[in-house]
Order: sequence, then structure tokens, then C-alpha cells
Amino acid sequence: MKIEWHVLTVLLSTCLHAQASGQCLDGPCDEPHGGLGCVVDECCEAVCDVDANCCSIGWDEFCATIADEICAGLACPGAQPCDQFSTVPGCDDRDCCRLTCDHDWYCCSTQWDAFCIDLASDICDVPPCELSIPTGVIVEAEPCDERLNDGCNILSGETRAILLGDVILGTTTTSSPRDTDWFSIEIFETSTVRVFIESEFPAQLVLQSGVCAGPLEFHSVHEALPCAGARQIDLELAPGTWHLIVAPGFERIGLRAYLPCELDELEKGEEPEPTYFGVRYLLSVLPEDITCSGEPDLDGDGMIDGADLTLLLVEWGGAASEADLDCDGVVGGGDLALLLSSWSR
Amino acid sequence: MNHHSVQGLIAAMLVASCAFCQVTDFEFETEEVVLPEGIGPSCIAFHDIDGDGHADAVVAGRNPEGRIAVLSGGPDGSLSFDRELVGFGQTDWVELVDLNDDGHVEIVMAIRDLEGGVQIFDGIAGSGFSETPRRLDAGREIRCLDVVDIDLDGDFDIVALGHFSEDVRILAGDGTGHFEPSFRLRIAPWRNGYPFPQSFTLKDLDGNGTLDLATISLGTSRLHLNRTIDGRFTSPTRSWQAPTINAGDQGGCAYGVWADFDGDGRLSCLLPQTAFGPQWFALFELDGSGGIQETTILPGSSQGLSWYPAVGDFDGDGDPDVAIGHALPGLVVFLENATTIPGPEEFLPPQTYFGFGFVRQLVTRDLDGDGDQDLVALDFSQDKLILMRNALVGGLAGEARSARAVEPTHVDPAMVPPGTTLVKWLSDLMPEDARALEPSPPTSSEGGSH
Repeated sequence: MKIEWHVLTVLLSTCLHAQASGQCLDGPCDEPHGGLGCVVDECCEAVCDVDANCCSIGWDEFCATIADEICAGLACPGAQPCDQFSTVPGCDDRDCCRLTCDHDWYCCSTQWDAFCIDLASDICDVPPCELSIPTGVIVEAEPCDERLNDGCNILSGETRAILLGDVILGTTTTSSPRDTDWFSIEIFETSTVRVFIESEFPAQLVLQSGVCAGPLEFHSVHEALPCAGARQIDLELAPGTWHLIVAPGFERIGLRAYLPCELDELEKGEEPEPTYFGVRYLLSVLPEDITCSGEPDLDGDGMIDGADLTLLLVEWGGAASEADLDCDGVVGGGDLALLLSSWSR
Repeated sequence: MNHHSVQGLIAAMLVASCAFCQVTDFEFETEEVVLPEGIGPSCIAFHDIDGDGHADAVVAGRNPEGRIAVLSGGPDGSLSFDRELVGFGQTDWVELVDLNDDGHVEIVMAIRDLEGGVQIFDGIAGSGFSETPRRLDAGREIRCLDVVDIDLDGDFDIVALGHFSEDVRILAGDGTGHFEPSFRLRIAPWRNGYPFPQSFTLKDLDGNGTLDLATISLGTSRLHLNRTIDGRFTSPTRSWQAPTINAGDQGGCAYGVWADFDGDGRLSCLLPQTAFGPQWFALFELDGSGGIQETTILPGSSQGLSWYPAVGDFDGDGDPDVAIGHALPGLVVFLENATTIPGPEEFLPPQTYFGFGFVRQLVTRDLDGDGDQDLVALDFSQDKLILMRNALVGGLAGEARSARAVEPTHVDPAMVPPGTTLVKWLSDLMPEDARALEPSPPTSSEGGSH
């Protein structure tokens, strides 16, 4: 008897699920059509939350009116593929559509333009990730509710110095005012420096020089996508002071939301902002002529053995050396793992 | 009144009268052009649309319906409402250009609404325009545009500024009225999400004969300069900020205007510095190689929020004077250029016209063809244009200039009821302490670094 009840329960739930799915399948949301629900799930669900009849009896003029009032920005899923331009908001992968629109409301309010296509490509299907933090990093130590190194974005103009070989572990937030981390580096003769940036969030790295009063010179912008490994950027720099600025965003546009500061106080009844990405990044700067070949045979004897291990341990915690096998700017656990993985029999 | 007070009053009167002797008493006759209610005029462009020899105009509007106004021009420079057209949404900028050289002018507009873009009403025979405009994708929340041949291929191109897409884009034209995106310059990514560029001008900054880019951004409160090479805006973008004002505030800025105020042959960009309290304006003087060699901050009006500047030789003495449109309250403030060549720049205390709502744009133009500089003020909140005909030079100039007998009207602006016809008030007669603006020390900086 227990089994029969279970089967019945499953059948009933399947039946109910099918009916629920069917409520938001047909007809435009902005016109009365008599069908159950309408084609844009987010809008349909929102309208039926207001008036269940729209999903159980029929989508009439009242439902269309409600949709007109509350469905702005609720466009997922849309009709077009997420990798195609459309003058209609939204795209056909609901999760990707929502993620994209949460980061750029324009994509669900106005149209699915080239920015939306690129954004979807960059952030959809990216799994949550946590950086592997090497030992010896310099912690930025800027609480997310303070702005200590925001350069020309704060009146004090404060930046933080970074030296060749430094590895910075920093954090960011889109909480107001949005965080930007300005690192200043002195260059004494024209040279190429190799910058690595690895991030848990979409990060933009801006190269700038000059002083806040002017001229402040914006030279280039680069991006590091979340969980995409360390992005290597070679920059040819003339003598002088340069700023490397890390902030949430992409090469084409800044990221404006969804990297909240956990220290922000919520208003009564206010829900915390959803999060999609971590907030940490690693930034390191090396002279170009220090290569990281990834070659664990540090003494060049053709064997990966104790002698190489000793050489690596000698450099432990240091930066910019041959022992930096994983090219993250610091000799640490990642390098040790690489060496051991190649250990000779 | 004690002895010291009397002495002080006499001294103040002497100072005031001496200062006043130097002031040209700007005189403008005003004429209102009432626009359809709710249109929210934001920008005006002039062109002889109907070929009758008189300048007509099109007014962009910040209204959700996308209404714009077409005005018919008369022989004396007067304008009267002719008809409305309806586009895609609220518009912030308009240019009138015959894009395809067919003899019919097109209306090219910046769509400020969320979808942004550029809309074009194609000109058709009979002084008309296409009923529905076509839309070009050009970024988000377009707030300013220009139509020029930026790539020097002989055809008009469109340069458009995206407030929300943080960019300035070039749409390359092929001479038939067709445009394709060809270049995008991101503005101030270091500001991280809110550079909010508002306006730009195209000027030959480095003297090489090509138009370079000067962008003003609300989010950075800065003037950003890019040289143009081979039809593209080149890196680096160099930017400057005005000194702080009013005990440490960074003034905001939205629009700039260029002129050689000190007669040294170098242009300066004048940026009103919007702030609560006394208003200021900054002058950024070019160094001849595309950079800024000197930044100067000067006092403007002691009231209102400065917004849109214009320049013109309003007193006919050969140098550019300044007019600045304000909001809250709506004012048009004149500052007479009193610079002794070769500088530094100096302006006499402001003279103020009251009675506006929000002076959204101020355009210098010889309306009536009498050879002097008139003004057109767009009153955003009162849905009207105010034609300000110069009564000092040209027209009534002779009498006014020779007389120089100033009879100031002592009007407390607080006493001017809303909707009152324009009242002029000589604000240089304000007490000195009310004009004690405590400027931050002017700074100068050498251009160029890396």
C-alpha cells in the first residue's frame, strides 16, 4: 500500500508540475490572448503572483495591464539565442539571461545588444571559484566599507605603492562608492613589465599615469575574467610613476553591481544583494626579463630531485625567481606542487 | 550709526561706484517663444529648412513621448512654433545637416532614453521630414553628438557620446546618409562604472588642422582630451580637473565652451563649476600641443547652480565675454571680459538676468543679422525659448554704448515672483562679503608627462 501511495504522489506531482509549466508557455505578455499565462516566464510568474487567474483562467486585458505595469526588466527567457543581437530584450537561456540582466539591466529592459552578447559570453557558465592564495602575498587590507587607495577617485588622491616582485591580495566591492584600488609603481628606465592578474570576479586593469589635477593619462584597459587563470599583460613603460588600477568590470564597461560589501548595514526588511562572484584578486608585477619557464629542473641536471627541492625552498616566499614555476609572482605551494608532480623516479 | 559705520559705508560706496564705472551695462531685449507644454527643450539647432532665406530651428526635448518642435524663422530672427515630430524617446541634442547632399536637411538627434542611439529624420521635398525617424545603434543614453567629417574622406560622420555606455563613438558616413560604427573610445574606465560623460566638443587642440576631442564627464568632473589621428581618437586620454572651491568642494561640470579669453592666441575651455553656494568657472588653456598649460578658477554668480556656458563679444569691444545659464533659480549671468592682454584672464562682477526656470542651453547667435551677438536661452522647465537680442551693439548699440550711464535696478532676487518677466539685476552691487568667495589658489600645471 505504501508503494501505491508513493506512486500516486509522484504521478500527482508530475501532473501538477506539467500544469504549472504549461501556465507560462503561450501568448504575448503585453496583449490579451485568452491562453494560460504568457511566454516570458519571469513576467508571467510575476503577473500570476498578483492575479492567479491569469495563469488558471486566461490572459485577459487585466493581465496585460498588470504586465505593462510590473514587467519592465522581466524579460527572461527571451526569444533569441544569447549570442545573437535582438532589438527585443532578453535571451532564450533563462539562467544566462537573468545573470546577464542582473549585471546589465539594459539587456532586459531595452534590447539584447553587442554588450549583452559579450557579457553573456563572459559570465554565463562560469562556475564559482576561489583563488588559490600563495604564501607571501601582501594583503591589501582595505576594509570593503572604506576607500583607502582609490587614487583620483577620492579627494586625498591616495594610492598604494607596488614594487616589482610584489604579489598583492586585494578585494573589491561595487557597494557605493564603488571600490577602485590604485597601485603606483616607479619605473626608472624604459622597460617592459609583466603584470599578472587573477580574479574571482570580472576584473579590469587600467594603466594610467599622471597626477589628479592633470594631466591624468589613461593609457589602456585590460580584463581578467573570473576563474580564467592568471592573465598576463606586458606593458612597456617609460620612466616615471604609473598607476595600475584594479576594479570590477570588463575591457568594454564597468561592472556596476552585485559585489556587495558584507559590512554594509541593511535597511530594515532589506534583503542582502545576491552574489555571483567572489571578491578577491591577485595582482603581481615582474620585470619581463625574469621568465617563469615552469621548468622544475632548477639545477639543470636532468633530474627533478632533492637538489631542485632545496633550491625551491631557498627561494620560498620570495618573488620573481626561477623557482616561481607557476608564474604567479611568488614562490609558494603551487610551485612545490608543480615540482613534486615532475619528481624523477 | 556710529562713526566707523559711516566711514565704512562711504568707502563701500566709493569702491562700488568705482568698480561699477568699469562695467558695461549689458542690455538685451527679450522675446519669449512658447513651446508646446511638456516638451522640455534641451537643445536647439538652426538651419534654413524651407529655403526662404530665414533661419528655422528644431528643438530637442526631454519628454517621454519623443516630441520635438520645429520652429519657423522670420526675417527679423524671430521664431514661431510650426509643428511637432515624434521620435523614439527623449532627446538631448540636435544637429541639422544635409547628410546626403540632396538639398534637404536631415534632423540628427541624440536619443537620451534608455535604448539610446541616434535618430535621423530624413529631409524630404517640400520642407518636410520623414514621419518616422530611423535609429542607429550608437551606445546607451546618448547625450551629445556632432556631425562632421572626422575621417576626412569627404563625407559626414556622426560622433556620439554615450552617457551610460561610457564612450564616444564614431559612426562613419558614406555620403548617402548611411552610417556604420567605426570606432569606440571608452571614457575614464578608472572611474569604475560611473564616469557618465555628458558632452563633447571637436576642436583642433594641437594645431594640426584636424578636429580633436574634448569630452566633459559628470562622473569625473574633468575635461578629457584626445588627439585625432587618421579619423580615430588616440590614446592616451589626458584629463584635467579644476581646483576645489568653497572650502574643498569639487565642482561639477557638464558643458564647456572655447574661446581665447586673454588674446594670446591659445584657446581656453571654460567649464562652469556647479556647486552649492557660490558658483565658479574654470579656464583650461591649451598649450599648443594638445594639452593644457594652465588651469585658472574664477568666481561666477553668487547664486543659482551654473550649468551651460556661452561666449560672445556681447559688448562689441573685441574680446569674448561670458554668459552662463543657471538653474535654481534660473539665471543668465554675464561676465564682462576685462583681461589686459596678455592676461591673466580677468572678468568683472556678474550681471544677472532673472526670470528663467532652468536654463538648459544657451546659444550665441546673431539672430537678426545686425552684426552683434544675441543669445537664445532654452528654458527647460517653462517650455519656452527666450530670444535675447543684444541692445548694446548693433541695433540700439550706439546710444547704449555712448551713454554708459548706468541706472541699476535694485532688485532682490528673492522678491521676484515666479513667472515674472525677465528682470535684470546688477549683482556687482552685492555687498563685498556676499561675494567673498574664498577661492582656492589658482593652479597651473605643465602639460605632458609620459
